[in-house]
Amino acid sequence: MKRQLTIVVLALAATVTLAQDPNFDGRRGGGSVQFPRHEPSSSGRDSQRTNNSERYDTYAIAEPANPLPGLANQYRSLRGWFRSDVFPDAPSVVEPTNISELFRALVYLKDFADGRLRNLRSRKNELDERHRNLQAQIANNSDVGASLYREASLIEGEVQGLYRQTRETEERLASQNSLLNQLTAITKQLSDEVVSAKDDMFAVLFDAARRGKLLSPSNYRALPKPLSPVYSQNGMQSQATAINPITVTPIYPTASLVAAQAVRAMPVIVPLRAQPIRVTPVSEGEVQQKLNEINNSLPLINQAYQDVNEAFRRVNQLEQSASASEYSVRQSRERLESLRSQNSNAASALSSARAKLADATAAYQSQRENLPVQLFEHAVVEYYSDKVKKFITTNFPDVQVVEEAKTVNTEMLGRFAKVMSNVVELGADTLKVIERVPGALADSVEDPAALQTALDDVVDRFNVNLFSDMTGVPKPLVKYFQKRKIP
Amino acid sequence: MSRRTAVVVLLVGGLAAAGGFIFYRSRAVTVAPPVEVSTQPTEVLPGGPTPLPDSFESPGLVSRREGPLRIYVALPREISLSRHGENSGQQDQTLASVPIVVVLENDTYKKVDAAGDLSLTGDALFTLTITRDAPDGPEVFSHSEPRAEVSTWQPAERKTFTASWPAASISPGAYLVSVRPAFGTRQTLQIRTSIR
Repeated sequence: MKRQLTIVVLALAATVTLAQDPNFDGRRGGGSVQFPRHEPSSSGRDSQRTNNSERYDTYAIAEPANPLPGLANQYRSLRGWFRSDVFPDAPSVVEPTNISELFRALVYLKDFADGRLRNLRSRKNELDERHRNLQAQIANNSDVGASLYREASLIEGEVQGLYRQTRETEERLASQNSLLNQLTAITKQLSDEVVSAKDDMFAVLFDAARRGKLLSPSNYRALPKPLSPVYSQNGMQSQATAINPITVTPIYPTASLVAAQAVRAMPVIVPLRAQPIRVTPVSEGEVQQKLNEINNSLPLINQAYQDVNEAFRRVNQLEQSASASEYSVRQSRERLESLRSQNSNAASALSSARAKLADATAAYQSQRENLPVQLFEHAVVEYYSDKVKKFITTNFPDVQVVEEAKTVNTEMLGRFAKVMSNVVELGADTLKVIERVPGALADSVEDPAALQTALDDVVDRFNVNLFSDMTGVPKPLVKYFQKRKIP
Repeated sequence: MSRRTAVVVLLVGGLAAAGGFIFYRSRAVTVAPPVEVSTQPTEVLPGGPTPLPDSFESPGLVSRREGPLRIYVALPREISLSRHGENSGQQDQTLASVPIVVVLENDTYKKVDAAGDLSLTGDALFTLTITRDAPDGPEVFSHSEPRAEVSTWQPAERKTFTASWPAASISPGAYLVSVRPAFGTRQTLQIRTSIR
């Protein structure tokens, strides 16, 4: 009696429970059970599971309800392990009314456990892959950083070298400019004195000519001569025909090359294995086996979780290291760019300093070569100015300021005509005259000793010891410089 | 004055005149008989060169003084249209151009300023024209020397200009070259040449 009462109470309780279950459809009786569907997630694995769940909907129930409280309790215990806060996508809890429903719930749960295990393992593989990638990235960054550091060190050395060379060049430039300035000052003073001497001399001559004591310049120089006509060779006028070079235009491919990395692999679609429709009744052994399988999966899932967490932790640590190495590489690159800019600027500064030094050296050398001729010009002008003034003073005491009047020395007049033939040439650019006809001046001097004295005077007065370079001295004039003893 | 003294003075004077004559003959170009009388200072001491007349003409050269400047125009008297090659076996050479030399010389010992001392008119320093040497002979060539690059003459400075008369306008015959300065009296200097 007591046993019968217990069965009735259990039957009532089961009825109430099924009536309260929103997924229970009383109209279907015991013929078919609809399991709650999983909302498909965005991942491929979830979609695969969704397909499986759809497959479960097609299970046919062949045997009548046969609840097994022990097995159901094990199911509940297992289902409880998949907590909603840990497994939000775990299948809903069902209360199986017979062994087939229990088996299906277990199959579903086992499938979920397998899927989760696969997901975790896949996730771990991903994290391991990411870990390896990060390690490779860090190693690569380390190599790149070392390479950048070596290059930066090299450029830094170059920059320092360029700065040093620029300083040395600037010091040499300052020294060269100092020499050039000294030489320029001497050159300018020589030119000024030549101009002044010429002005004095021509003022005396102008006054003498104005008073009728002297002829005009044209009387003391040779008359111009006609130039010879220009002839050309017959038959030499043919124009060389320019041959147009054959231009070869390279043929370029018209289609752009496809980058290898742009080739994308086609996704491999693996069709799901079709599940046969179960028609035979479910045995208790099968249920127990499924329960055991799920039980066996739990430590694997736990281990997979721990592995994933560990992998995540290691990846997270490595992410920070990778980020730091990226930052270091970026900083190294920026420093390298800065050094390259400094290097470029330093090279430009050195180039500019060298160009200035080359200009100063060339100017100094040019003036150095011209200096002997300028000194000679000074001596020539002094020499002739002295000659002219002495002649005028001696012969025409009323011309200009004359200290003492003397009788006219007629014997000197003939020689003076020769002097004047040179003097009239001094009005123009004397340097050009010396360069054009150095022999005329050198050989027509009436008193070479006096000219030599004038040259020695000006060399001594300007304290010029720069005659080591005589390349600018015209050959006929060299003899005047060779007579000097060069210190 | 005793007779002896007079003879000495005569000998000295003769020697001086002879010396002057010898020096004058030693000049590079023998000056043709002056066309005009010189206006140079007459008080030139003995022993010096004979003064050049203001205007004169000699073979291949004509000159005239215009204010402070003296103008020279130099041109060969005779020009051949062709000549034999200098080396044997060379082809004959034909006339390509005739250079005409014009010299403007500052004939003073003072600097001459082109704008202030010469009173230049127009843009040219001088113009050169070549015509057939015949009454109303046609003009075959002309050249105008710009004055832009000329500003001053230093004391006694010579400036030489060369006009190139191209052979394209040359054929055998007599030609008259006229140079007209843009200063002084602006009178034309003329020199003749013949092409054969």
